Amino acid sequence: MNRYLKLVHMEIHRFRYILAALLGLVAVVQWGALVWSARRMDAALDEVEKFGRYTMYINELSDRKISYAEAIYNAQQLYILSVLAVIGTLCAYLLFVWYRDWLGRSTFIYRLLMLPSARSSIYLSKLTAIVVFIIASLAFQALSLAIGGVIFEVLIRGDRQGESYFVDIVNATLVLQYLMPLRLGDFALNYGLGIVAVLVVFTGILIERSYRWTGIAYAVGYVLICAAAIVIPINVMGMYRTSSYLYTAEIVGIELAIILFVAAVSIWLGFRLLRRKISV
Amino acid sequence: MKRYWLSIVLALFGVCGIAGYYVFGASDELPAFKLTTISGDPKEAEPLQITAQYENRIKLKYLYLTTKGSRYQPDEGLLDRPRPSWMDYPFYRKLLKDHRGFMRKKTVDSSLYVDEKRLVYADVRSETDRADYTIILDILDRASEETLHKEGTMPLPELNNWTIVSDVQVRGEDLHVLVQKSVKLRTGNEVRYEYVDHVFDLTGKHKRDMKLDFGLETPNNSTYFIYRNGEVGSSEFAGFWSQEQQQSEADFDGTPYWTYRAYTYSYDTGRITQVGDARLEKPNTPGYMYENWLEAGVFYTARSDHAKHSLEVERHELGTKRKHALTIEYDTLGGKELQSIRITAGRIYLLLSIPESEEELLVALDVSNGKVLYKGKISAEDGTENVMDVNQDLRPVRIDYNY
Amino acid sequence: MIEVIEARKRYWRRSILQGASFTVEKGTVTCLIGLNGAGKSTLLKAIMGLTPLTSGRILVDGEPIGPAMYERVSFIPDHLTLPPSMKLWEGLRFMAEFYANWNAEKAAELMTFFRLSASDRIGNLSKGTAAKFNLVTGLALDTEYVLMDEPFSGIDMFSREMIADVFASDLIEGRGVLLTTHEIGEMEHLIDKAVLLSDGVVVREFNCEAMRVAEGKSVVDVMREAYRA
Repeated sequence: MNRYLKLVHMEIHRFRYILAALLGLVAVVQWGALVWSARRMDAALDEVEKFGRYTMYINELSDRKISYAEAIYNAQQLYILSVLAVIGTLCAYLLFVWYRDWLGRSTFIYRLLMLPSARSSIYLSKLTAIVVFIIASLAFQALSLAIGGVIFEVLIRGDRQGESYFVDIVNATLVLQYLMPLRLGDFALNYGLGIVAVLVVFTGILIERSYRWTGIAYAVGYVLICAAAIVIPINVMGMYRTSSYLYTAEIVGIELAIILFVAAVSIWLGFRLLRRKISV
Repeated sequence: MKRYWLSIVLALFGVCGIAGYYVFGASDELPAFKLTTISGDPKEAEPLQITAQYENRIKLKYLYLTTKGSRYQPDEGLLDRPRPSWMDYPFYRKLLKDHRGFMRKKTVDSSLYVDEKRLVYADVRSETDRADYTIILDILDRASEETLHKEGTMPLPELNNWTIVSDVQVRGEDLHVLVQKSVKLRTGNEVRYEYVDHVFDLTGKHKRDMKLDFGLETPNNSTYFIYRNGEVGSSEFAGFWSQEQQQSEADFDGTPYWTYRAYTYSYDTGRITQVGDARLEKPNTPGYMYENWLEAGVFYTARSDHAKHSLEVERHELGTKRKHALTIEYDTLGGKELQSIRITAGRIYLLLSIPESEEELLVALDVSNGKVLYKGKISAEDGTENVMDVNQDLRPVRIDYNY
Repeated sequence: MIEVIEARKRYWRRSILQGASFTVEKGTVTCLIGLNGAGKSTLLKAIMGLTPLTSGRILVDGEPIGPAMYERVSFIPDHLTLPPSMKLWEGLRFMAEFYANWNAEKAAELMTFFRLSASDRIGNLSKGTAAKFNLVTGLALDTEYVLMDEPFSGIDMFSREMIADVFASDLIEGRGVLLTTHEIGEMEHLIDKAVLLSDGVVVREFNCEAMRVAEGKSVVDVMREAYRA
């Protein structure tokens, strides 16, 4: 357990600059976009007060108030881009977290495989590190929204500030509704599925590293089979059709069993490959 | 231990941040609304659920309001399936509990017939541009749990466009399946509805068909079936209404009048009878409303007069052929415009707007004599900021009854 | 004793090892000799569990290879095995954290002996310095066996001499060493036993001293016989 934790720390430590850069990007882009959007709306309100009409198209200035959620709504493309940048980088790192140990002049994978602890710690520590990056990014996004609220309050005159409910803030962009769904159950489901996806990808990478030339075909095949095993039954059982033979609870139960099975197989296979089949 | 501060801080930050998001997010929600009793018996409002739209600057959300409080429709997640609303009510849930196996794949409530002895589900399988459609019968004996499955193909004189089952009734030894066919008119994409009553015996054997002929003046017009709600037991009549544009009678501004008629079809006698008088109306004027309900052998028609801010309710007892009429004035009740109406279970439920406070007024009246049994007010919960603005953002859409 | 029994390895159609068997005894320096591509590195990696064998067995002191073995067998490959972003002292700390038998004093001695600066970055080391650091991380572990893959390849002469000195020192004493090298001539005086690999099998396995005394042949002589035949 101790060695596993040390490996987790090592994996987190090696990524620290990239993570800092990503979170910094989120903060700078989102707050910058917020300031720009809020100022624009403020100026439009000035025009409304002076001339009785506004020349820039901004939603709903009729009651002479602007809200934090609206300011985000009008700048949402930048918010979405910053979020996509983080997601893209983390997805790329799913692969790179393994391959970086093979590439270059110095092959760290030798050292990792020769550690006197169980090789499953290698798999689990990389998985844990990825999970920590994801939750830290999510928490930072939530914090960034909160700080943005403060920035907005400071920037805009008090009498011009409109009510902004938390739900509105989350719904103001297209991404946050899915990234941080308001129901905890949805969050658990979405991210549970995400972690299973990470497990499948990790095992795919280990397949590729164990079988070299044909490895990539096996790896892609494995990922596709797992994806199909999870997605196809949902359609076959008619989850998103109005009428189907099975009731929702039954479909969800079966699907959950499939997902757990895929997760278990991926973990088992990944561990086994690391122990016996992996080749430097 | 100090060396690992980065990992520890990141992990803790992640967990606390997300926990904080959900704890804080849970407390800062969209405004809640409540239904408060102004006068009358609060029990009158208990079986009701008001569906409303709450729309503020960012999004439109649906809100469900009962005497117990309000609840927003949550954002769709992966576990949400499309589902007809009648499946949320106790009526369906009880059927599901008692006959879980039979109720599989049975999702259209107009195809379902329920009485103490049996459950019948009549589905129709139709493809466009075929010269026939298939009726699929599933009959469950509630006591013995035996099921019967029968399919029969009905030929069509013209190519199929869209066929659905409007009603299913068991009258004595006859099983009636009322089917609505939509027939393409020669002119463009319009369709006309035609109704056929397919009669079977209780083993599913086809006996005869009755084509319903309403004798409309303009044959290309349709009659519209009046759907029932969660009824248990057999009903002799099916209700219809029609609207026909009157070319001859037009106002000086050119907008046409329409003639409205209501009908009943008797499953026992096969006769179509007009209910009440034909009315000449101008439907597209503000505040106009015309609706029909058929429940427990009584036919109700409600029309709101757009000029006078009042509602006229006619009650036709189909068995005794007696007719009663009621006029309800919104002002006397305390409201201005009619937002929604439902007549069921012996009550008239109305939602009226109260413009001065942007609140809504819910009134329950006895359908037999028009006596006001309950008055309630829908407004934002106490302590909401900018109560008037918030109330203004709420628009009621529908009154539902928890069958 | 490390025993390699009937080791076979096949990559697709190519057979690299076709039943190689030999042993490495404690307290002796064994040299695995073979032409390029004969499978020497593969054998070392297989012993360390870094690549699987198609068939055959490897036993360390009678037990099959597994994670516990890494405290008893240490491997020094021909390239670095720690992340390039780490500094040398961080690399040493990593080894100390994960290996119970890391000998910090030995490590410090070796660092001084090789004149390595602990604040250098691993990624910035020259080939010679990197080889020396590799030796530090490999030898500072108190293991019973040490495996080395081409410890002299591409190293300048003076660095080679330093490394050769290590062999003679007490750092090696008592351990079983298995190494591969091309510089047979230079190493001959250091090794006790030679294992000749050809076409995936062991063709000769002999004690160098005994060979010189009995048949008057050096290792290079035996090699000529075996590979030219």
